[in-house]
Amino acid sequence: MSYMFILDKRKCVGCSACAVACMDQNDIDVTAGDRPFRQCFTLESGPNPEDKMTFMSLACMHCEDAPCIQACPSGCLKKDPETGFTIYDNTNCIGCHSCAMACPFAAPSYNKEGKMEKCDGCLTRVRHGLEPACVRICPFGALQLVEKEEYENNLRKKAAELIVYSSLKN
Amino acid sequence: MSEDVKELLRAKIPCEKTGIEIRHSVCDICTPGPQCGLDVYVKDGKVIKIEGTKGFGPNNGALCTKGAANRQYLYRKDRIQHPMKRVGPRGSDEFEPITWEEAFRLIAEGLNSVKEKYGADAVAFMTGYPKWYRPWLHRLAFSFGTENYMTESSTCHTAEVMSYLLAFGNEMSADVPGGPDLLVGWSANHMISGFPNGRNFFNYMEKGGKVVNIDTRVTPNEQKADIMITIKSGTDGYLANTIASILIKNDWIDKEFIDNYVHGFEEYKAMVSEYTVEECEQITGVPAEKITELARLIGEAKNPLIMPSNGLCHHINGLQTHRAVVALNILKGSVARKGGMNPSYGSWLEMNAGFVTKEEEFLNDVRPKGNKPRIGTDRFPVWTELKDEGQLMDFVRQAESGDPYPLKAIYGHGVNTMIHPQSDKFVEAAKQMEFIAATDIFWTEFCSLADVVLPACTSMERSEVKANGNGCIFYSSPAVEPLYESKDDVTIMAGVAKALNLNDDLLKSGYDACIKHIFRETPVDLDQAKAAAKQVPVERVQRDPFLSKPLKTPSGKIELYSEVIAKYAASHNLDPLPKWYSGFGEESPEEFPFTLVSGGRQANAIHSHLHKVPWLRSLRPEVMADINPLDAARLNIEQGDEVYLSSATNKIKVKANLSAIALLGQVNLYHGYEEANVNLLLPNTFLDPYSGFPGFKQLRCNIEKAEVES
Repeated sequence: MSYMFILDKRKCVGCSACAVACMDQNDIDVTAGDRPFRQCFTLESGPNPEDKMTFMSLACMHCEDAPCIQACPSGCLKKDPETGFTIYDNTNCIGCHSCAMACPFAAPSYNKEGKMEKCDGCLTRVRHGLEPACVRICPFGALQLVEKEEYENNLRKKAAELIVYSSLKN
Repeated sequence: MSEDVKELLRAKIPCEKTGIEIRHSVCDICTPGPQCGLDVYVKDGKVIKIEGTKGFGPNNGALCTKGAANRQYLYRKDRIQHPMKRVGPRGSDEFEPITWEEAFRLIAEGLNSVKEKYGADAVAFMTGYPKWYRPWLHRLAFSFGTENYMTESSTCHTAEVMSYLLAFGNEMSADVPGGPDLLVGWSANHMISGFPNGRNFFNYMEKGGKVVNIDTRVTPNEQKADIMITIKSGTDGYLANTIASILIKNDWIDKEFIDNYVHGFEEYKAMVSEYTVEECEQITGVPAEKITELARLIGEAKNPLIMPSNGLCHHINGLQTHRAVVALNILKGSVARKGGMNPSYGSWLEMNAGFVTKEEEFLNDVRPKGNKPRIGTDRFPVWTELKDEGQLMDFVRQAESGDPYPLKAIYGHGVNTMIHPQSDKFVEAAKQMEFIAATDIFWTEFCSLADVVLPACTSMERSEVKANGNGCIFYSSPAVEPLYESKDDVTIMAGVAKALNLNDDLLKSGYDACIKHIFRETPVDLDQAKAAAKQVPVERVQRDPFLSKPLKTPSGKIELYSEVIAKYAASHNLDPLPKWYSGFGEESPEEFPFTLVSGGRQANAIHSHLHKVPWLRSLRPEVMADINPLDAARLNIEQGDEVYLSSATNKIKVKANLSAIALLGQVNLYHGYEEANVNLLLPNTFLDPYSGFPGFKQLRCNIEKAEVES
C-alpha cells in the first residue's frame, strides 16, 4: 500500500515540534551543525498584521519520479515498493552531492562522513505499524501520513487546503 | 548482530529483539497546565526517545515542541550532579561536592541560625519551575514557622486568578469545547503555548465556530482567526470598556442576568459611558469600524465567550485590564453555562479534575500563628487578601530596607534571578543574605549565590500524581533512575525537614505517604493507580449550580464593582471599577519611542529553562528582538544586525529579527536569556499596584543599531 505525507495548511502553526521529533528519532547532533530531515518555516508576505503568514513543515517530498534517484551515480536511492517512500542505502555514497543538486527541495543533507542522509519516511517504524515520528508528535494533527486510497477518497476534494507531499500527479 | 536487529535498533523499535521498552511518565516542562503523558523509550536504563502517550487526557499521542525535547532536557550537560557547598565568596562559582548528610546539616544550621537571630519570618521560601512540589515547599515554610512562601506565579498567572476571584469569588475557565456562538480570544496564544487549548480552537473552528482574536503580537492564533484585531500593547482595557459602553447603549446585554447576579452594574455603566469609539481608536490603534464591528458581533451573539489570557496581566494596568475583559462575559450572561466562563475548582495542583482532595488541609494543619505580615502585604494588600503567598516582587525592597522587618535567608527550589525586573538588584539583595540554599535541576545564577546547592531530578526520574482535566489521575513511576546523585524535590524537602528537626512527621515521611494523606478521602486506590501506569478515572463530586447560592465575594454576587478593592481604594489609590489607565511608566516617548513587549511565549522555549537544550536552541539560536520591517527600514537595520535595546534603566545588545509579528512602534523580545536578559531593562518599581505584577509588555524603550567594530 502506498502512502502520502499531507500537511493541512490551516492547522500548521510552524511550531517545529515535527522537527524536534525528527531530531530525537534520528539522534541529530545540532551542535555539530547537523539539521533534522524535516524543518518548519514561517513565510511572511508583508510588514502589516493583515499580511498573510504561511506556516509550513517541509521534508523530502518522496516524489514519485524522484530526480535524486536518477542523479545518484552510485545507485544509493530507490523507491520502496511497499510504501512509496524514497529510501536510500548510503553505503556506496561517494558524497558527490548530485542528489542534492537534482532535488528541487534541498532535501538531502550530508553527515560527518560526507555521506547523504535524508528523511526515509521512518520506513521501519511504518513497517512496524507506527507513524513517522513527525506525524506522531504533531500537536494539531496537521501533518499526516495517509494511504493513497484514503487521499483519493476523502482528501483530494480538500486539496486546496493541503500541501500534498508526493508524487501523485494531482 | 543481524542486519535486521541493527535496523530495528536504529529505528528504535520497541520489542524483544531490541530490548527497548516503553515506560510511561509525564512531561513537567510547562506544568501545571497540559500535563501531557510521555512514552519514554528506554534501553539499558537510558532514555533513547520520547513520544506522547496515545489516549492520555490532554495530549493524546502528541507533544509540543518543548515536550518533544524531553530527552535532551533530561541529559542537559549542565545538570547539577552532586550536593555542593560554596567555598569561595558569595556569588563566586567556587563550590565543592559534599555528601547529602552534610548538605542537610549545613542547611539546618544556616536556616536555624537566622531563625534564632531574627525569627522564622526572616527566611523566604521561594520557588520557580517546576510546580509539582509546591504544596510541600509551602508546608515546609509553615512548619518552619513562616508564611513567607513565594512563587514565580507572582509575575505569571496569579493576577489572572485574582481577577476571577475579585469578580466571581472563584477561579474560572473558558469553556471553549462547550461551543459558544462566538469566541473572542484576547491575547490568546494557545497554538504556541499550551497546545491542548489550541486544539480546542481548531476543533471549534472546524465545527464552523467564529473566532475573533485580539493581540498585540501577530501570533498563529491571530493569523488563523476569522477576524484578527491587533492592538497597541496595554490598551486592551480601553477597548474592552468601549465595547461595554456600546453593548449597554444598544441594549445588547443580558439584563435579567445582571439584575439577578451582578453587583455594581450602575456604577460600572456610568464609568464605561465615558468611553468613546473615537478616543478608543486613538488610544488602541484599532480602527473605529473594527471596534464597532467587534461590539456588534459580541452584541448580537447569544452566547459569546470572551477569553482572556495571562498576558493581559503583564502590565502595570494588567489586573484592571483583565477585569475589564472579563466584564464583557458578565454583561452577556456568559457565566456558568455551556460555552461560557465556568467555575474551575482545583482538585490537585490547580487542575480541575472534578474531584476533591485535602490539599488545603495539608497546609492549614501546620499553618503558623502570630506571624508578621507576609512579604508585600503593605504594598499590595489586594494580593495579600486573595493569595496565600507573599508577593515576590516586594522581596528586594524589603530585603534592602528591612521594612517592616529584616529578610536574611532564602530557601529556594528552581529560583530564577531573571524573573525579577532589574534582576541585578535581586542578585545584590541575595548577596546580602546570611544564608541561601538552592535546589535545581540545572546550574543557574541563583545557585552561584547559594551556600549549599542540591541536585534535583526531572519528572522522568521520579514518581508523582497528576490530576488531569478529563477527570483522571496519573501516578507515574520513574522511567529511569535519577541521574548522578540527584533526588526529587519532595525527598529533598523531607531530608531538610528531618535535619531541621521540625515537628512534622508527615512532611518527613516523603511523597508517597503525603499523597496518600492528601487523597485519603478521594475515591481512588493510589497503589492500584501507580501499578496501572496509566490514567485512572476518579468519580466526580456533584456540585450545586454555581449561581444557585451566594458567591464567595463580599457581596455574594458577581462583582463589577469590587468590594475587596474598595477597602483599599483610599489608602492605595485603587479603583473598585475596572477603569483603564495608561500602562506606561513616566519615561519620555520622545527619548524612548518604542514599546518593549516581553514575556511572550515562543514555541521552542518556556521562560529560561529550555534555552540550553541544543535541539530547541537550534530553532532560534540567537537572542533576537522582533522589529517590524518598516521600523527597521527607517532605522537602517537589517536582518541579523546587532542592536541595542535601551530603557531608562539599562541597555542590552541583541540581534534584529525583522518580522511582522511586531507591530509598528513595538519591539518584541523573549525572556530568560542569560546573555541578554530583557528584565534588566525594567525598573523594579514598575509594578501593577493591584497585583504587584511587572509591566513586562509595555516598557518605553529605544532601538539603536550597534556600531560595527572595525
